[in-house]
Amino acid sequence: MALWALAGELSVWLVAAATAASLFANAVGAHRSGAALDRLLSLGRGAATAAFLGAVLASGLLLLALVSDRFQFAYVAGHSSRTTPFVYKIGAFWGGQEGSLLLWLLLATFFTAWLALRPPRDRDARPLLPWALSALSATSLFFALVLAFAAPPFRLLPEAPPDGLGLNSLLRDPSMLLHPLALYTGFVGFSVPFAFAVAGLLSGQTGPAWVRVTRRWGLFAWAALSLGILMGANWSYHVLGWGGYWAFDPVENAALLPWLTGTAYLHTSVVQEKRGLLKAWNAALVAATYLLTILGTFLTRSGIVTSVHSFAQSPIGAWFLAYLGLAAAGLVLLLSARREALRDERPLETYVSKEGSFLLNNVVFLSLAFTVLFGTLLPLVSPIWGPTVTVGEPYFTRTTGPLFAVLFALMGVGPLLAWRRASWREIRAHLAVPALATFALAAFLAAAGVRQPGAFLGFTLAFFAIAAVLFDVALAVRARAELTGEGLVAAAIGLFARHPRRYGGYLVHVAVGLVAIGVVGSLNFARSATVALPLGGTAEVAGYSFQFDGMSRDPTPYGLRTVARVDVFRDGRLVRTLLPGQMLPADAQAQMGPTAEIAIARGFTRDLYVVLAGYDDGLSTAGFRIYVNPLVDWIWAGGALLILASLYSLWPRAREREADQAARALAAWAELEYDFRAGKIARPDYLALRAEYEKLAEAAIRAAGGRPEAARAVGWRLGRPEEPAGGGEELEPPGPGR
Amino acid sequence: MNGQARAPGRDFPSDGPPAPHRLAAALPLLLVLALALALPLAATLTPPTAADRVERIARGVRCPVCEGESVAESDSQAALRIRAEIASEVAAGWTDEAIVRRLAAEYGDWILLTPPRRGPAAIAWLVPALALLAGLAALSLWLRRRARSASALLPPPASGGAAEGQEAPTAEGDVPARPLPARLRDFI
Repeated sequence: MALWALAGELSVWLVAAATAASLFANAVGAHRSGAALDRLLSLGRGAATAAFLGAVLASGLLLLALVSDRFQFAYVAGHSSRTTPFVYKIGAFWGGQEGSLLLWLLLATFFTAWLALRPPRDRDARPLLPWALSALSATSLFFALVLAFAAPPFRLLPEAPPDGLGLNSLLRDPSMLLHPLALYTGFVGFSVPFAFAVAGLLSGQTGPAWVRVTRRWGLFAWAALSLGILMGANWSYHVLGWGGYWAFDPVENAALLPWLTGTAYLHTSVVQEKRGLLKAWNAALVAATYLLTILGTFLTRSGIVTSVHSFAQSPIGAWFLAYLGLAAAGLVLLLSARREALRDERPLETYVSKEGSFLLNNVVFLSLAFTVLFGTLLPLVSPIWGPTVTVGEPYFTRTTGPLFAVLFALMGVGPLLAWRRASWREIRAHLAVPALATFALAAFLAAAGVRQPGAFLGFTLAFFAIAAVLFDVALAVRARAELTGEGLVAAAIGLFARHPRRYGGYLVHVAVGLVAIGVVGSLNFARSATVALPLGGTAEVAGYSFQFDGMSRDPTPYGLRTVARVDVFRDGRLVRTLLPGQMLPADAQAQMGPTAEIAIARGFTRDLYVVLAGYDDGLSTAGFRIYVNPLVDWIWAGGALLILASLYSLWPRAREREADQAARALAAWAELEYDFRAGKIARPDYLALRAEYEKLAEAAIRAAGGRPEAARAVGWRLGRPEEPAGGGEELEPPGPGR
Repeated sequence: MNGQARAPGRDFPSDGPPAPHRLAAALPLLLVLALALALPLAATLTPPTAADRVERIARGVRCPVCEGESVAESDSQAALRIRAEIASEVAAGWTDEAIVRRLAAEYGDWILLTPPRRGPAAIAWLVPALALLAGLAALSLWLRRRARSASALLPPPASGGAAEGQEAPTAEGDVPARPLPARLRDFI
């Protein structure tokens, strides 16, 4: 056992040493060129691979200890037990602090090794790579050192206890197997765009290259983080038994904060990529997102802010605080040192443009992030000016609600704006259609008796955002049909197939609108009752009557389960039978009391949600908490659409896989044609932008002409069968008048 | 899509962007969508009962013996007692404010999960609003400064296209129709 622990500790040290080697090899390599650079890069590749293998070894050893019940390991004794079901012995790997930090390290070294071994094909990325790899290695090194000194996962107890404490019974749920994986993938994933941003700053190459190279990473991290947040909300909903899914608990906020800044970054990074604007802003945003992922881990794992989710307190707080301080100071210095290089390539012409609307949405996103951060830290900062203030869900709902409303209004207007300069006259004409439909919905809601201003605004603005996107897609489909002569259906398919970035993004907007409708509905119209019922007794909630019809005890290998039978009637008709229960775990977790096993009958308009809160020894009287939660399923449906749409946007396509500049310029040009034909942009601005894209595409094709393979690839992609095979002909600028 | 509309559409249209009345074709579809959404939304509306009021008030009251939970979520004895107090006050016809005031007087402001709107704790409400205003102010200042520095760099907007594009409009709004370049047509 001692040998096992030693092997584990050594593998953590191996990771530390290898990440340090990778950091230095790449940092030195960034200053070299030619054969010296190649040598250093290959040294860095070896080190990054070794670091990943070390992390795999450490994780494997811990996992093996967990599944084989080696309770002499303090971590195993603290987070697993003989009666913990097998899958949750695996889940215990990230059920505690040391394990979750090890998971972080595993993911970070994996991403670093991935980038070292499969560098981006984009030529612009090459000078950035050594810098980016050293920045990534620095993060891994920090986590390896924390694991080595402050949170050792392989600590041995002097004597093996007969059984472990078991995994916290609230975590014994399938969604807890995947939620931490998704969340950490998102957290760690954002360190890749961050590392390339730092690389851009360090090397002085602050152009759009780092944004373009990491676009897919950023979107991938965002999708993973969204999935993690949604799964966490779903877990909270069906495990914690308070009838809700989001309480602005510090741990939830820790995940929400980088999501907010990351979403802001996804929008403005497009501005830098397409228009060469907002360089300093994007670098700062992605740095803030990275720091917030570290801060989130610090907040939740140090126990500095109390939360239902912080299961442990430990000395890692000081480490995180020191690293955060150093990293933040370093980034501020770096940003100010590169002030000159961060000047934009061209001015922002008007705020009435897509760029302008993105800037506004960033102000709102950052205000949201600031409000959430401020509320989370209030117990720490409020003693500065008065009594300690701690705020909960109602405070966050009231302060973030109006900001979210502004955001949804912007989501409705944004898609109708063109790049560079939108025309007011056309915006008004375009807004009229979705706005009219929205007024129709508002009138209907008012007639149906929605009086709460929050619910009224929430529903209408969410619908407005959806309607605007659908309207814009309809306009683009018609424009495409006119351009290509296709039928409307073929044009719609072609539109989505050819422009996955823009229209994948719009699908995400629709998904977010659906989530918002679910949130607004359940927040405003949830109905509940807490009742004690004798056998046969009924309780009325929101038109449903819940009848307590029996109770049984059911011993299982993992604990004693008590199940109540509740029949739900509506208008005298049986609609559902629900079986809420309680589970008393067989292991030491029993000290924490039984865990509620909630019964939920999910539905399109409402969920019936029953918690067995308590019962008498004769099983003849039971206490229930009953909720009728409207529209909650819309959140999960919208969430699923959000993830699918992100994946569709991410799906590798031959056209983009080449990271080809000509293809990018032509795609932007095609979108411009749709916008112009849809009337979103005035003619002079259209002509100026078109000339820009034409020039870009030509330059790229000309450049590709120098390399036969690339030229063939471009020629194939542009598919010009009528052209003779001669390469020179193909490079002529298009159109007459040149 | 009829052929007549399409033939000139292949070139750059000289009739400019589509007229607003053509956009309105999408309106009925969106109206149907609004109705389809309104029906499930309307189905969820049920009048709140006294129990819902108790629940709503309890969500804003901290459970005195738990960590980070409200009395609505906790099943501890203390939380159950406070919930019962709130329920009896609701039944006795107290207003929400009166109940919250009574709780704050009895347990201190600490028990409230929303800070009071008066006194030093009100800063908690002010700061987020100030942050938004500061953000908006910073953005508009930045835009204005940019606009000033831009006017030196940039030709006036109306002629921007002519300066950059090779084909200057011969008359206002009159662009020589040109077939869509083969390269783009194949790409689209």
